[in-house]
Amino acid sequence: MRLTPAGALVLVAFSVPVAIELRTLFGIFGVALPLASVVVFEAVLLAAIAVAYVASSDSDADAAAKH
Amino acid sequence: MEIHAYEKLWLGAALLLIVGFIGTVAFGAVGAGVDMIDDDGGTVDPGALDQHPKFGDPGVYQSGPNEYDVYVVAQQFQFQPGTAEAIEVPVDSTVTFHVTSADVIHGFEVVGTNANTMAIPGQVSTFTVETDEVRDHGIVCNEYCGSAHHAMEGTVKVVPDDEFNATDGGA
Amino acid sequence: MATFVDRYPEEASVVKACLTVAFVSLGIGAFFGLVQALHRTGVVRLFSSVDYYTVLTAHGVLLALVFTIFFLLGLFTWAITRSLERPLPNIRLTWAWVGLAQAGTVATAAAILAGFVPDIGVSADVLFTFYAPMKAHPLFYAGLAMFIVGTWLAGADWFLAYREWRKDNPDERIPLQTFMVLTTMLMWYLATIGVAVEVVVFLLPWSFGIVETVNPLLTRTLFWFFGHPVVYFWLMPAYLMWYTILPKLAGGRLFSDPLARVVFVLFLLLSTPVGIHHQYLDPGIAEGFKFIAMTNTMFLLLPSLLTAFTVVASMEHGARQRGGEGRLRWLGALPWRDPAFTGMALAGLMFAAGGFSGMINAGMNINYLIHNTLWVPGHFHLTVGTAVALTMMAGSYWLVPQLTGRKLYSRPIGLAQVVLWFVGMVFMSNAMHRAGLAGVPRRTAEPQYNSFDFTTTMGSIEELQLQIAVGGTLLFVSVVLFSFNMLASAIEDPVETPVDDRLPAPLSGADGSPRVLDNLRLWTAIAVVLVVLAYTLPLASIVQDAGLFGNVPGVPMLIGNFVESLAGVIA
Repeated sequence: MRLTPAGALVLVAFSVPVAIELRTLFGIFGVALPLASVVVFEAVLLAAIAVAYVASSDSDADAAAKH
Repeated sequence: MEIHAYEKLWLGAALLLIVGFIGTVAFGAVGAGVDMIDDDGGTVDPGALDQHPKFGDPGVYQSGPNEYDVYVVAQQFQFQPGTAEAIEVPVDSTVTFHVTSADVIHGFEVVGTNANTMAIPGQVSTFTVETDEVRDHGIVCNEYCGSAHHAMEGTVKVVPDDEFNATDGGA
Repeated sequence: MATFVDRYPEEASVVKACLTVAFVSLGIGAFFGLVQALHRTGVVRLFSSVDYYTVLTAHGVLLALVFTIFFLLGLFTWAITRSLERPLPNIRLTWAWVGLAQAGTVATAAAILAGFVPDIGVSADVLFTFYAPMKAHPLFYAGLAMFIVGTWLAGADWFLAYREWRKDNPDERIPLQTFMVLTTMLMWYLATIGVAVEVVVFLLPWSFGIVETVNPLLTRTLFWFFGHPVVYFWLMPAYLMWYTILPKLAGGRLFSDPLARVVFVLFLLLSTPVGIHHQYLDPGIAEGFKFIAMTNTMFLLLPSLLTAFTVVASMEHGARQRGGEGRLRWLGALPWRDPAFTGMALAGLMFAAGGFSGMINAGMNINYLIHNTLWVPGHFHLTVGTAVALTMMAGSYWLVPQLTGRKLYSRPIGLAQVVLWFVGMVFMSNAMHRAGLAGVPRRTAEPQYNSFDFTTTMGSIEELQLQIAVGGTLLFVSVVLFSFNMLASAIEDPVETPVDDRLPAPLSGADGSPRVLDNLRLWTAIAVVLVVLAYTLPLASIVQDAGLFGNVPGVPMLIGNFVESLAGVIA
């Protein structure tokens, strides 16, 4: 399934609460992280979405080339 | 009427959740004895608080060994006592607050705790807390009460037994 | 193919008139929201903290009452007309209620905004809950009364339309959208009895000086008699769109028509006998009455949980129709490019989060920790501020082209707008919930106090303040994008088919369902009985305490009063 630009945008939006709450999750287990950790989490998630986006459009291009 | 099997499952789980919620609160009230604000405090004449035996001279009153009553009048934009002078109560005691308002509706919230009530003119809110730690707590008015609402604050000081002086806190 | 405006030009004008008021209120209200977010966090201050409460009153009234309810008036007019497939019976009556509601809005807004200019001597800094004995100018209450009567006449108009239709279709099931409109309006008639009595019998005569005193607990209880069901009056338009429009936008059709009816009947029954759950911390109301309100409230979770199922199931059905596969991969097949779809889906997601914090609010004992803290606005910015407001904005991208016969100016801007709203609200609401747990009160102009500091379990208060300010700014930018898109759409060239406005029939239709579902008299009667059971004894005991008109004189909310009071505090 191709990750569309709009789909990627929605994933990016969804990654924001995930990044914020990951810090809370660590807090529950007694690991107090600084505010900067949210930025790091978000950067990691954005990178993952970017990789998925590029990979899916590559495989799409491959599929298109074979036809 | 056709109801999908998954939807029946969902419906059952939802009902279970709801009954569970009601059950925990009922247990809290009956089993664990969680105190909640109700109509026990009775009524007062908000226009004649100064003639009231306790609200006429609000403050801390000892009612038994390690038991205290605190009478607080909330009014635009202060708690009396609380704002001009802190409410002082000894540690390891049982403290019952009696809160009313002299003008509009106010809130009385001991910051960061569940000691929290509305102060409504004509009505008296009562709730009881245990003081288990020597420390200062902030009090805020958490219901909008007018243009200087944000300045309406105060302090509760839980002090060691030997530092407690009923006449001080008694205002 | 013709669309709504071609078939019902007069009704389309009515809907446009309502939506215009809604969107103008949204713009002004959102600007005030930005000002507040920056002021109470201490980031940017444009005026004194005294004026904060004028801004706050305007923000609450313009968004929670005017934007939402005018959108409802427009949406329901559209829904009644299209689902009954006939014009409204008496368009003069229709324009009369539009005019009355608009006049009431202008009067109330004028009374509030006059608070910025002390020389006028008119002020209504009483917030949208207007608890007596804080007293506003009579214009505020009079405008409010006109507005409410306007909504009553709107309901009458829709019931007349239904009666005409029934004459021609004696044996048909009530069309689903009409059913939703009628049950919502029955709930509204029942709920507004509280506020009508409060305003007309007590507050209006008192603000004119005919009556000297009020019973503050009585007017407060009457307010919440109305104040809780009003949240379902905001929510039902969103539900109408989630049930009847969202499945189509997702590429499929509604899962079940009868269960949609069950949900709306449950809201009619349970919306009103719950208002006392806003008064868990009030003295003068026995614990037993509060417990009854809580039990009803918890059962009110049921229709919303059922809705969550139906919405997700309908979306999955749509995605599979579009070729989606797998356990979760079907999510990728949804039409994320469509701002109407994406906005509603994100709104639904945030509503789930809002539902969880609402369960905390509803719990009678844990409520004490968060009552009147910033947690509460954090909660309702997820519900009315996102589930409702974002669904309305998203729905407009699909609805407005049917009213104007013009295409939407830009889908990408629309998509950016709804996504920005989601992200902005994540920041703002998350921080508000957390600040509330630390004890930060709601409805206050200052970020800190002199005699103590707030302590958080994680992070610092400063970063929460910053998060609120950033979130509020993103939300305002989102409203600017929305307004721009709507304005630009209004000057597009008219086209034959501006949007695909067909709504497919549900997967399982109304035919197999029990006819008793459509028995509106029966449900109304049960709803009335539940309200009588929940409210008679508490109201009787409150009246017994201090009498109908009480013994508390009014306290006008005027700036002059502030100076005197401050002098009193210093002395």
